[in-house]
Amino acid sequence: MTVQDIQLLERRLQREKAARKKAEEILEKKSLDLYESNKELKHINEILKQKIEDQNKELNKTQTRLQEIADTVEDTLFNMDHYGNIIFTNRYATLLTGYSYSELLKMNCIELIAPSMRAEMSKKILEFIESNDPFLYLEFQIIGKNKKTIWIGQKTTKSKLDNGQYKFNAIARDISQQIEDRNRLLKAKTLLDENERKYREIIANLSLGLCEIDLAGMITAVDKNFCHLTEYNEEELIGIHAVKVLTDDKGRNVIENEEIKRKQGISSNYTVDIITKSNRTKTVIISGTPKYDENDTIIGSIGIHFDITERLRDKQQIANIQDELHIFKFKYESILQRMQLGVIETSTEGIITKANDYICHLLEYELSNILGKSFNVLIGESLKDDQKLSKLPLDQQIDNAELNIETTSGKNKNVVMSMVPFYDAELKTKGHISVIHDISNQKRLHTNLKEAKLIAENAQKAQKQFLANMSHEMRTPLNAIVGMSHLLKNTDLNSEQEELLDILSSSTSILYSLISDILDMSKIEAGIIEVQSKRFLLQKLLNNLYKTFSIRCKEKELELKLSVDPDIEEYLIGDELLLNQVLINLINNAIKFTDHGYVEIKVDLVKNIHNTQLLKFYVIDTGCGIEKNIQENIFEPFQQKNNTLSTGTGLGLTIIKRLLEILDSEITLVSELGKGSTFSFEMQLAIDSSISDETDHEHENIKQQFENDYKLLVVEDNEMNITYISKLLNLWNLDFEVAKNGKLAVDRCRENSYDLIFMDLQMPVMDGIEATSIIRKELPKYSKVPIIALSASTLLTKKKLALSAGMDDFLAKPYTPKQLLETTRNYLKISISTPHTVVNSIKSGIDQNYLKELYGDDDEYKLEMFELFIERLESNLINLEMHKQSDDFQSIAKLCHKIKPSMAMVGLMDLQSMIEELEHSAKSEDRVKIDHQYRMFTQALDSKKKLVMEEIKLLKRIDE
Amino acid sequence: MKGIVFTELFDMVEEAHGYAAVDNLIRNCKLSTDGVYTSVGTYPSSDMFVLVGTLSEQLSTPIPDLLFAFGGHLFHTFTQKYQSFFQDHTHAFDFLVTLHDHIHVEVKKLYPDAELPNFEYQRANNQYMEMTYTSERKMSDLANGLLHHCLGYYDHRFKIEKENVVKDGSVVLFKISIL
Repeated sequence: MTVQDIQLLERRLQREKAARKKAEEILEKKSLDLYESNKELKHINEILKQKIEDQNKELNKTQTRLQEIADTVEDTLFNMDHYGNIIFTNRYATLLTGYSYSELLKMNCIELIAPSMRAEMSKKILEFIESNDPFLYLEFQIIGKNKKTIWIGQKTTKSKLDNGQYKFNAIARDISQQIEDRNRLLKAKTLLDENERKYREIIANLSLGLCEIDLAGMITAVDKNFCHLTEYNEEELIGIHAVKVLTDDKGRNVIENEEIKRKQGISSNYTVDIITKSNRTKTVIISGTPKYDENDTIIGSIGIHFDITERLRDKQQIANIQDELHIFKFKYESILQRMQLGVIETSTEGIITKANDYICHLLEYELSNILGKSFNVLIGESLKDDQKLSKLPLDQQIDNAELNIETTSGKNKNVVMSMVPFYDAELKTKGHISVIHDISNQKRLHTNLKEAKLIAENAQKAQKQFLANMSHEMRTPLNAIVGMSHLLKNTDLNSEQEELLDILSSSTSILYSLISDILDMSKIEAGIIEVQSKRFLLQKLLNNLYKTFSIRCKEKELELKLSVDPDIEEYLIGDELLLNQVLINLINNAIKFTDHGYVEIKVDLVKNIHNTQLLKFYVIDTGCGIEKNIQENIFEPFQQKNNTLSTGTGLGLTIIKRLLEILDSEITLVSELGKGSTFSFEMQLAIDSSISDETDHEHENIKQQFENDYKLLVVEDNEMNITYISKLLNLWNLDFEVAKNGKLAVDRCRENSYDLIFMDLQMPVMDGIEATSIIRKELPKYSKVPIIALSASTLLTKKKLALSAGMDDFLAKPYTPKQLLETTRNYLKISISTPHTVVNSIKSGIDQNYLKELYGDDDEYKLEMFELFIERLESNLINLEMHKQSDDFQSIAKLCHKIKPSMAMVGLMDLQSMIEELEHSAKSEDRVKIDHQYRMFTQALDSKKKLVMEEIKLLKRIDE
Repeated sequence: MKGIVFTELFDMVEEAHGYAAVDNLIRNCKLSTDGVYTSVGTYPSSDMFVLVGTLSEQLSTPIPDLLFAFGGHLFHTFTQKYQSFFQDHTHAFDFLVTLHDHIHVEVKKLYPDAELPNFEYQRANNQYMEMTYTSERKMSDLANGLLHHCLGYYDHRFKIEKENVVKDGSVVLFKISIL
């Protein structure tokens, strides 16, 4: 260690030592300070402790004093904290409630209140807290420890503490006795009021006049009857001297004598004459009684006045009345004699005692021959046994009985008879009076009307039949013309002939549509269009329309557009034919009035509603448009857009409108002149969720087996119908029960569960509509079970009625097995495992709808066309092949053009468009396309030829 | 100024350079106490300025760097001596906001004559806060050193920006961001 190091350490040591001393000095001083402070603190503490002790003592004293005071109080005292917990109470409270101090101090005040009143009281207390009221008085019941109910009246005051909470002071008193007294008093008063009211009512009803007078004879109170009696009003009577004003001298003496008795407390009755305001004299019986005050001191009297003037007068008038009666009797009898009603009086034994002229005339009897005869024999022959006189109880009457009676000469008369008993003065039945009205003429009229109605109905039937016949008769020759024109086109024609043929064709089609329109219109007017709900492919319908009209559009160089909302279901249920007809008419119109641009068919899905889809159909064109002022009545018959251009009946739009009305829809038109028109309508169509094959394999379908355990109810009264439907349902292995009327059906539904109900509409006891309403309303488990109406009526009203009663669908009788099966399947929601095969779609390649339109029901003509098609096909195909080999495009085009219509004639619409495409390609000499399209066409034709052959076979069988 | 600041300064110098450096420092300064300081005593601030100025010359280290390092040393001492002030928190901001209103109050109770810097806080969220240092002794670098070690103590990744609000350094704004 060097010297420097030692010096350094020494310096450090000195510094540390100095620092330590300094620190000790500081700490010692601090220590001393602390000691002093501590001492002072201790002193202060002691003083504080003493003070607190003193205050506690004082507080305890006050508390005890307070409790003592509180305990001597004859009222219940409670102090409650903000939450209603009891924090202070007194001895009386323990006596009243039966709970001890310590028990009460653990309770919330609400626990004491009777449970039924807690809610109400809590509400009132909360209102009190919110309010500015200084106190709250409540009367309520509390339940004591011994479960006894006590009524208390409680005054509560509130005070707000520093912490914002409230403290409540309550003084309560047992008011059970008061409440009981009050209730008893109330009851007594009600009883008293009731008695008083009754008593007054009785007097009022008896027309008894009430008058009260005081000891001086001044009137103090009167009632209405008394006013009426004296003809004075109340103000005039009160305060007047009764005897002086209301009687003469004679009456005054009587009354004053009576009043003496009153003052002695005696009641009495007497008769006296009084003078009314108009100075008339009335005789009254007065029943007088003294009137007492509460101290039983007589303070006047009460008189009840009974007016007997009329009665006295009646006696005198009886004699006069008897005279009048005689006159009246004479009048009455002469009236009876003359009026067009037969009147007969009979004795209690049923012997005729009186009869008027009319009845003699009616029965072709002399009066002398009628009197003394038995009523039953002469008139009441056709009465029911218990209504015959002598069997009928004497005081019974007969109202409007319809009777057949025979006259002397053997004529039958229809009469209506009413019979009433009549009485003698002692109210004993003296006999009967019968009034007889001849209704033979009305009856005859009624029968005639019935006959007329039958004739009218037959006429309507005939009209329907006529229209149906007409439709066929007119269309058949026209079909021939259309068909022949097409065939004629296939022959070699020179240009002039072709031109003439074109005119012939277009004229024919105009004529065809004219007749169709008129027939459709007539059908609509006659109300014989029926809506048929069947499942169909909307896309297919639209595709066919597209194909049909694309040719016409091409001719007019118009674009035809088709757009369908992809969310629309594939299979829908609705009337495909009517929908098709509406769309054809609309598209026809659109094309007719459009020269440039396009025609668009558009279908949008508006929304899904349960198991249905609401679709909106548009037919949009860029044609000439319609003026605003014409738009309104364009749907009326014989209104056209442009009369100079008219090429139709003017019924087209009317038919559309009416058809849509039948389909529960409405056409809407938006149009601007020169820019085009948009026709649209909405239609709600049911979704067919079951996938079944498209074809009419009725046999297969009918053999359908239902695998699930469904249970059906058939409600039907007709035995034959029951047999029919039973057979079918058995065939399909479906379990079912039969109810023979609506009432039985409701009973069955109550007891069992069914998955589907077929319900006849017209049945005895209870019809299908009523039964359905009851099932829907009263049996919740049936809210979703489908109910299908079965009815022979296809009238729309009946159908609407059925649907509005809650039925789901309507199957028109007679229904085919297929219809029944489809409906059953639809509503049982059975999916069919048979896939939608290619073969089916090829078969469906024959457009039956189109053929139906073309040929109607004329199968003979159809067969002819089909045979012709096959006959020609071979040579056409050979020619086509030859032209193709030699690359003769022009000839291919020509031949295609020729063949084209014949494809439509057998309903091969897709082939028609294929060959049309081939024709186009040939015209533009596009070899690649030609090759491809030719191959496609011949392949397709090969398979479809079989379909045509099959169709021919089918047609031949029908012919045989 | 509290004696602990002096004793700790000497401790820091001794730790780094031996007691000879402390002795050298004391002997080269004109001090009011001849270099005798105890942590419980209170001494004029001018002694500290003289000591720091001289130390800066002797070590050839700028005064701000010296003060910053001293801040670090002091903080370490505090965490040893007054652990309870720190262990209640997991976030540096939570500790910092207690500094003025809590810890300084406690210090004042013990040493009524202590002259402490004033701190004002604006805490935006757990990611950012601002502290304004106000002291006539203008020793914000010391505060800066304390702050850095404090943030480090709570394991934060952070950034502190320091700017003079008043030019002479008597009012200084610290912008503290947790990264």
